[in-house]
Amino acid sequence: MLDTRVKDWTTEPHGAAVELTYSTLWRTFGVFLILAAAIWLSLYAISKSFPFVQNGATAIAEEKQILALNPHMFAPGDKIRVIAFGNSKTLAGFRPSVFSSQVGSESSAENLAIPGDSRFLDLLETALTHGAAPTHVFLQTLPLPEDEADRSQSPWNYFLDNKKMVKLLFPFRPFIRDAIIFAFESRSAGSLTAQYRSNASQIEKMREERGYYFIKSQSHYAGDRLPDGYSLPTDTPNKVATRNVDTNDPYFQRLMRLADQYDFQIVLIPTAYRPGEFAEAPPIDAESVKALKSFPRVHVVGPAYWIYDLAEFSDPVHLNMHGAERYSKQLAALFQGQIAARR
Amino acid sequence: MLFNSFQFFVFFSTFLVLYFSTPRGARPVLLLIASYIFYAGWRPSFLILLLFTTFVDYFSALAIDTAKSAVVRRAALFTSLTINFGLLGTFKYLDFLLSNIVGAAGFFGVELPPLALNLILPVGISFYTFQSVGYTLDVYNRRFPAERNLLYYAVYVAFFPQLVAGPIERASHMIAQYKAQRPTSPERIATGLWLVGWGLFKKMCIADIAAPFVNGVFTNPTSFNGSYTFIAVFLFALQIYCDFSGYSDIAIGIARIMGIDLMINFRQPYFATSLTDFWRRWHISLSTWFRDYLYVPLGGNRTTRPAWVRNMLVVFGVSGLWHGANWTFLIWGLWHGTALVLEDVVRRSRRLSPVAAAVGAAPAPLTATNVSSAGLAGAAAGLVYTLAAVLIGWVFFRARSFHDAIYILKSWTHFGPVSYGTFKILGLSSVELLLLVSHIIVLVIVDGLIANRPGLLRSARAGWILPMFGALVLFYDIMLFGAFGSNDFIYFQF
Repeated sequence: MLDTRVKDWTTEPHGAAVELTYSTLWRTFGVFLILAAAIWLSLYAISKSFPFVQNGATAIAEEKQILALNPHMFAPGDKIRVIAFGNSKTLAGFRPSVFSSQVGSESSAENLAIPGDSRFLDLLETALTHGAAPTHVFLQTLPLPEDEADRSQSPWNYFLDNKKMVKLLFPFRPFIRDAIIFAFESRSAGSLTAQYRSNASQIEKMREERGYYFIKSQSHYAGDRLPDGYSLPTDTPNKVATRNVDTNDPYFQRLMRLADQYDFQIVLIPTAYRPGEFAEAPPIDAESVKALKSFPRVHVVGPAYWIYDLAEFSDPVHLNMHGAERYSKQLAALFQGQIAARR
Repeated sequence: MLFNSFQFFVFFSTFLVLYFSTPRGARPVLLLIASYIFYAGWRPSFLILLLFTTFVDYFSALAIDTAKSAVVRRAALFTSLTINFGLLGTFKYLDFLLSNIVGAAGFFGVELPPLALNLILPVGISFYTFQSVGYTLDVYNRRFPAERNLLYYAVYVAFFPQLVAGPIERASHMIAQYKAQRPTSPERIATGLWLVGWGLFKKMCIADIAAPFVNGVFTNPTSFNGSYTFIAVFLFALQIYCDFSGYSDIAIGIARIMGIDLMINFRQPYFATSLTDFWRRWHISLSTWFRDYLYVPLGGNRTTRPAWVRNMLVVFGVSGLWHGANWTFLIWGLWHGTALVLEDVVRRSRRLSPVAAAVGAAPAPLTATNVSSAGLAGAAAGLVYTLAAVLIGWVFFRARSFHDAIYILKSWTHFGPVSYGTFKILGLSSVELLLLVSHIIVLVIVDGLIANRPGLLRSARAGWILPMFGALVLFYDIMLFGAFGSNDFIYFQF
């Protein structure tokens, strides 16, 4: 008969070892708490002292907050004022300088996309309340919050969301991961100091480029372009990708309220995919047009996406600088043709 | 309420304060209330089923125990089994049965509309049903007297650490503990906390990190070449072990903190050197349940060879279906049953044939004492064979369909190139990969020590400094690198 009763490494007697007493247990627990607190404080201090060790996404998100606070985002003479929101695809695809030079001298644009996070209303509201007055807000997809808990910042919802809780309790959690990546990347930069300076200069460059950021860290390909014939097993070349537009979503309704209050137009713009990632999209995203026809402030321009060459991608998802230039020009042409004409 | 959540941390901390400040005699009441709150956290309506099962088996066992006539005893047992398996069958297998009836009718040219009730499977129903049925059968077989006190019996069925995913306990082991209310000890608290930490590490730092890759490949396996499918199956083997044994460790740990012992459920199964050995180490509480309540009543191995083969296939087939209503689970069970029969055939032929005997006996389990080069080679060969057989089994267990499983097995005849981009898109970026590999190495070392050098671990916890630093490392490893979210334990779906 197999013995299944509790006999394992934690319970069997440990020879001549001293028996554990409650005083030893509480002392151990006390020292544990003190050391855990000391480690917490140390990691917090280190993470705050070296902001450019943190990964690009975090640094960019913090920088975008600063950009949103700028009341002089647009010059007084700018008649067309565009802010693009979105995730890393927008971040690495939309070059405000290229776009505005195409649209005309009285236009100005800003890229406030944040990697890994297409929810943007808080950032938009920050920009609006601090004096930025866009005429157009560009979006690649309409906001789709993951779940109810995301919409509410109530303590109870916070408590129910383990991701938020761990972020709150251990705000330096990403820092250790970032430090690992930082250490890896520093090999190509030559030293940790050189890598730190490089990270700082990239953020500075992003500021100069009005929020556009080339995601070099994810490109592992020569010349920052995907090789010919590149594909992924997850590609679905026979499937047309669609955008889900949910106009009943409270998030969408909040966006509409802001648009009415601050008088701006929302433009649903195409995104860019690799050849073979999806099938060619129809020239007009008819489903989105239909879903949004009763919202005069929302305009759907062009298809849901364009297919760009592999050479225009720096990694499987993001455009390189060359691709971003083409994308911004194509977007400007589309915008001029459809939106500026309506004004 | 998942063990790997802040909600459970608050729930359990509050419970412990109340538990230790309650007089011992009243603790079972608190335990029962806490268990019902814990279970209602999933869906309050599930509680009705749990209560119903509790009442049915409590009164059935009483009837069995007090009945003078064999007919009444049998009738009471029949009632209990019918209700328990009826509920389990309705919630878990009815839609499967209906879809197969529709499919079979279609095969014979009779078109039936799709039939499905789409009932939500109550979490843990397979576990508590088996635990409760085990009790009734024990009472019927006079191995255990019926419990007169409903409170103790209700706690036995609903005890929250093991309610939703085991270990599937026995009344003879648990009810006496609830009655005795043995005080806990510093030793129990310390080792209990360690087990909780180790279980969380396995769940959050290995299982949940590997999960996105595994899910990505198994969702659409035909998009991937043999290299990806092999890595996915290998990672699934680790995922399911870390997920389930992690849950069991946490369950055993939190029960131990309260002063209650649960049976051990895993003994480093991937160190097994034969499938027979594997099944002595994997999901022990279920294996022993099937052994005691199905295999032995069928005649076990004290019967003719053909009957024994039948018994093995029945037990493993049912064990497969216990995991879920899908043909792939049945195939998984039959695969193991067949392999065990073949293993026995080989073992017997070695005993009978002098040539086979000269080649060597069945490999001994890999232990510290088994260190001769011949023994080590035999054990290593046994380990590789067992792992290969188990991995093939996992393909059927995890695949969404028989067709997918066959594709995956076929894909192993041609291993193509892999690209980092695919790993990244499937959730294993460079940092995640690095962490996963590091954590797997830690797992292998610690499991190796538990299996072969337990004395080293026991002596390591003799003092307080080393365990405390170990706990600190474990704590920060989980908090900084563990996967947080709402990641269910895999066995909840069973």
